[in-house]
Amino acid sequence: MALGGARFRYIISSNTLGRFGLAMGEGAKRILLVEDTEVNRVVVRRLVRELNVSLEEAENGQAAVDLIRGGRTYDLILMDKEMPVVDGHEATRQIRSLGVTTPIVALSGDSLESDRDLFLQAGADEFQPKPLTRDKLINIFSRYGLDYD
Amino acid sequence: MEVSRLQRRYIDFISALFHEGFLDSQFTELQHLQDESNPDFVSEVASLFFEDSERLLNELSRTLDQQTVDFKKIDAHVHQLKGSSASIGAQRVKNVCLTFRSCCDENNLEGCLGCLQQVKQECYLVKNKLDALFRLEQQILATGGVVPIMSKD
Repeated sequence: MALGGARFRYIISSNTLGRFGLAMGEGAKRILLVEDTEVNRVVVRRLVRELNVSLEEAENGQAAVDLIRGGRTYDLILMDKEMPVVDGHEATRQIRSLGVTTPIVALSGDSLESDRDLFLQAGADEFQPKPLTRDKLINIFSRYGLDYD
Repeated sequence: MEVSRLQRRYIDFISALFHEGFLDSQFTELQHLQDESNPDFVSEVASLFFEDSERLLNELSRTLDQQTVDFKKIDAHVHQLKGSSASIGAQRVKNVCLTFRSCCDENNLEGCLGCLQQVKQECYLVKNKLDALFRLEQQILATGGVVPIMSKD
């Protein structure tokens, strides 16, 4: 159905995600989401639901560093920039200083080059603008070997 | 007959919300995450957003009302509102937040006060619009219809 250039479709069945549409089971990759805004966490939680990953959440950079110091290990870290207590730049730096080599994908709503540079200097692997979408996440997961071919 | 009339109204209404800039593609993204196991996902995320924005707007009013205004604190609250509005696709709210943050950077009290009024107004407007949209969805479902969702491409 088209209207003013927009296209509509009727969604009847569940969303399917092809090769990613697996139930979370043994061997699920572990993702740490570091994000202070609850709405954003709820959306990411829903985005990853069919992606066969196990998601843990930290509300700020300090909570993330504490989880890692406590022995938690992850296959990927999604790190927001601006957060209370310890921000994303500093948390990334601290995580790297602990010798952790887990890929860190930095996230920010402001696509400023300075943010990107600071994150990369702190040890992030890449920088992605927010908000995340399912397609963006699938691409990120693929790049870091979190897919299931 | 009734269902198709409601579906047409729905399409007209949501198209206008996009056309007038109230919503952007992130809202469509959320709609595509809604399925039988999460039939109210979009309205639940929207409710969470409006609860959170009410809290942040109250905090902003209080902080801007102080004798000495802490612009860093204001900026942190606006940052949160910007992030959550972007996550639900409330484009006009997000855009005012961008201007609001520039005013914070410049320690521009007048500008911040103006932006606070504007962002309150935009939150109020988009809440009313989304309430009406969700009511229309319920009417379509009650008549046995399926809610039309805009394609992402």
